[in-house]
Amino acid sequence: MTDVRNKPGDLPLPTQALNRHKPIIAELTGPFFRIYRAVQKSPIFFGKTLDYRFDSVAWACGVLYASPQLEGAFVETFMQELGRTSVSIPELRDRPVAKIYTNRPLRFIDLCAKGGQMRLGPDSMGESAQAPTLLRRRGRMHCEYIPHNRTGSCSLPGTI
Amino acid sequence: MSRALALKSIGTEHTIFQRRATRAVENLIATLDPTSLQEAASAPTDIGVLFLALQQPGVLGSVLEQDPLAEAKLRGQIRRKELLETEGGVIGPEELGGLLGITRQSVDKRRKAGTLLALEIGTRFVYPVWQVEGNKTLDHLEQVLAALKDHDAWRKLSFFVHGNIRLGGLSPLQALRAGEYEDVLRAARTLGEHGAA
Repeated sequence: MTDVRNKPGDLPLPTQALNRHKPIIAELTGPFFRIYRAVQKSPIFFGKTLDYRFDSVAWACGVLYASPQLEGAFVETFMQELGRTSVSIPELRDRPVAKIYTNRPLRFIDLCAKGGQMRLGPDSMGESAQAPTLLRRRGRMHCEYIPHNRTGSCSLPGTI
Repeated sequence: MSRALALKSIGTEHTIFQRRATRAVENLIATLDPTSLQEAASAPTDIGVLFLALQQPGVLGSVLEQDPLAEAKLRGQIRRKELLETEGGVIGPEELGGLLGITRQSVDKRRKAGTLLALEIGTRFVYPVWQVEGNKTLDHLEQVLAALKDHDAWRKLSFFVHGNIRLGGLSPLQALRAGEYEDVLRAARTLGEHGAA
């Protein structure tokens, strides 16, 4: 088992607001793909920068962005710009792909299934960063990984 | 390396380049049919002749056998040309210095410090003209360039002129002009990082 840096830390339990709702739960076994900066970053990175779309606004937890599909990871990493149709070779070289395996299935709240967001209600959406979520938009998945226990762990087979 | 050794090295590189490039052109001529040759030869520039020749179907198949990424690389060169022409195109250091009221040396200094965006074309640098508004650089250009310091110049150029999903479809350039500096800075910090689109 590889020691995982940037662990989520002392995570809170899922928000109590969820008790009032019946979220749609999806269970995924992975693996998950994550593209990362070879020089500066670990393949496992739970960000708290607030720079990313689903970062926890309350700094309640770190968020790991990964995708069950390699294509999804590619788009999420390189296609921030609209209409961009080329990626340079140095840019690709600088960004390995990590294939992340989990040691057990992970449970996510599916916000993208039909009615998924409605089930949570508008109040809970604001707190979604404190809950395990999985979002599927335009055919891609965005995973916020929060393990069942508070420390969490992943095995890393290396880069592909 | 001594000056004499350096010159000798450059001379050797020139010879190797010329030999290999000549062989590539000879292969192109042998592969192309007369119609394709005529079409390629009608390009307005010498380099355009090569680009057109490389895009001919017969050549492309042969090139792809040697380098599977050849077609993608060729498309990449065309995209670079399009990028250079976006938002008013590019100018040389003297002209840029003239617009900013500074010397060419000062332009070079700013380029090296990373406070001006420059693209290296062969042995010279060119500067996107959109960096200048009035007689000064675009507001907050330096801060955004600093946030992009880990990216190469072409990636930076692409960032500024393309619409961006983190800016509601506006390009960073449009957003900067609209005064949305913080949003542009956030988009710059997350460029090339795996995050939710």
